[in-house]
Amino acid sequence: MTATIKSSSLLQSGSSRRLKEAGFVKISRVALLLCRLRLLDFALTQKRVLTRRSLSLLSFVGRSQHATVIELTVNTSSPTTERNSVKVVVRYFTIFGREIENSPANRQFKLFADPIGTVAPQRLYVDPPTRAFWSLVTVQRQTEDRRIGMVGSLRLRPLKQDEPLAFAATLSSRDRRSLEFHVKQAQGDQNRTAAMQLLGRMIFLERRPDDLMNLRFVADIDQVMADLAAKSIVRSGTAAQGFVYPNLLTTSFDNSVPLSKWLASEGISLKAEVSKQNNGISEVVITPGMHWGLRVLAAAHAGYLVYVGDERDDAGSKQEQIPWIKHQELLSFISPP
Amino acid sequence: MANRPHPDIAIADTERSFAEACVDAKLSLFARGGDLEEAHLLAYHPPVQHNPYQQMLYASAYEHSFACFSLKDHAEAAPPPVNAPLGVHYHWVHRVFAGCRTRKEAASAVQGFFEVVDRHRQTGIKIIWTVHNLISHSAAFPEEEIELRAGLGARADFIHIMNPATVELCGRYYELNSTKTFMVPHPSYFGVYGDYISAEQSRFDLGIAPEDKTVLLFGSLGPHKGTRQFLEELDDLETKINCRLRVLIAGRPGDPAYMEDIYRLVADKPRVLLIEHHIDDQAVQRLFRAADAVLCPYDVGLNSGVAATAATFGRPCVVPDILVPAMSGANAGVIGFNPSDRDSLAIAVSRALEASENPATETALYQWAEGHRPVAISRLFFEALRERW
Repeated sequence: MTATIKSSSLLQSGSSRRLKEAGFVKISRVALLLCRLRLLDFALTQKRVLTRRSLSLLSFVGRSQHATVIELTVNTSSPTTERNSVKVVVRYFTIFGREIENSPANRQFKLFADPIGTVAPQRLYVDPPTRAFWSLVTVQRQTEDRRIGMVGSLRLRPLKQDEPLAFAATLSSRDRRSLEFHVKQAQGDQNRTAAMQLLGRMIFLERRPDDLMNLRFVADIDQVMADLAAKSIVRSGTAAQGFVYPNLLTTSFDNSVPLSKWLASEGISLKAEVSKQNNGISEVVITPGMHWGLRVLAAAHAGYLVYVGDERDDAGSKQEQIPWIKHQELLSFISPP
Repeated sequence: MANRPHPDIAIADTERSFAEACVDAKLSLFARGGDLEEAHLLAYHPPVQHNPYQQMLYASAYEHSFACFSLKDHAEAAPPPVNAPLGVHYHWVHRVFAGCRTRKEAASAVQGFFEVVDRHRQTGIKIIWTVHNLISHSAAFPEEEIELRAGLGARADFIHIMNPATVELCGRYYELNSTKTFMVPHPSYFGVYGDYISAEQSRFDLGIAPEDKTVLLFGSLGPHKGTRQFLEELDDLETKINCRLRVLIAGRPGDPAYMEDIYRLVADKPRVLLIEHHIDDQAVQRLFRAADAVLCPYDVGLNSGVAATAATFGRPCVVPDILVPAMSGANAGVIGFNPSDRDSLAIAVSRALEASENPATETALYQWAEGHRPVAISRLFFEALRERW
């Protein structure tokens, strides 16, 4: 037991020394008291070593209901980056001091601490609720055996309408706003590769369930398209003996089911219909009309040789929106008869 | 895409949407090679943690072309995006009142619940209800809960009961239409909990001498379990049965005020061991094996997982009289008492301890447990459901 205490103390003192050498200072008793009273923006001007107890700042939100940001740099005496080293909780209060509960804007953030010498401010984006007059930002060190230092203001500052980071920079950043911006761009461009890279980064940073879900769905669509490209089974023209597949047999595809699963489900129904006509049929003819792309995908996914006539220019097909798939991309899989 | 909390026992894809769950259900039934015309989907609500009951009841679902999945929010259910009929299976419906602080809120919660159920019915979704209790053990809003149960009973297409006296017993509070009910008993926990530690080892580990007569009170600690009254009467009970008892009380702690009473009552009873936390599935065996008998000194009860667990470990169990028919077939080891006659509890405890010394009791209970193993009971459940659906 004694040896453990000694080594722990040594670690603490070594950690402390490294932070001190890097310019981090302990909070004075007076400053600590003011912090306890939530009146001091303790790390605004100086690099501060975080205490074990949490520190808070109560500040005026103001009338501006626009998105606001907190920018903090966190360092650790550890030689490697530490995940979840600091927790920041933002709470909101009305002008009369009543807490605004259950607001989605009430947010918790877990910050990375970078090795001393790394200057990587982390931006925490928050949207104060309409009635918010005060914000209370609390910082809590999450680690026991490492000394953590921080610099930055706990005051919510209006978000300048600056440009998000460039795509390449975003991929290595921790800037949620830029990452979300580029995901949206990728969605508009139906650029699955970019979206998967961005979502991968977001998941690495936060492991949010909605990000995991989005990546799962995009990656699934990407795999469906890769499989389709590899099969080369969509042909122009028609097959005299083919099964005519004019409508979807189950409900239409929506974003709540991964595409491959929806296709498999539709494929089961398609196979059942085909076998009613003739069990030996291996060709399916896609007629023009609604859900052209989905029918092509379902028939191909089910393993049929798919004939699409000359429907490359079908107006209905062009209007069909399958998330993350360009109509042009589907057409590119059509080979001559 | 609602985020669902992790169902502890049913380790499952908790993030998938209702629609995806339906599609997964269809694909898994198809992959099994069953006839898709026969496929049925059963979404159950609410999913419970730390209780394997739902997994046990649905153990043979696929054999009967049913795919079952949990529904965190029953309003999520809708006509499925696959060609298969859907049922919503309700269990512990009193959870509707979670978060309600006033009767008005509780009444509003009931109405909200009915609106969802009615919407389901209008879209062709079947409503199934398993009646676990007459009224929940810790009913905070008894009148509203009775309204809830009466209303659900009226709306349900099929009502699963586990105690043959359910309709009659519930009739004191609300009416159940007996034409909708089907009786499938509570399963045993055969094969569910770890079962490899001997009684001797269990008693040794717990510091119980071989000659100590030991009783177990198992399950979450709350007023409905009768633990407080039992502890208050323990000295009297020991006098009546002329035997000093070792008492094991194990389960998740309840309301702090109630727990204060328990702490006070056990403070001067060194022969009582209070284990106030959830008991891991691998640790359940140690408590049941160490005990000579298991006590369920409840005021009221309709079914009891604890009694079924006791039978699974071959231990006689003392239960309220109305619970005895629910354990039909295990009569030798299931001893009833009248909750309003405390002398009858002493007699029942005495009989249970006597029964524990008779090897035939253990054998009979094992036979009951094997006959009521989850898969067998699950088969009965789905056969009964399919007959009626």
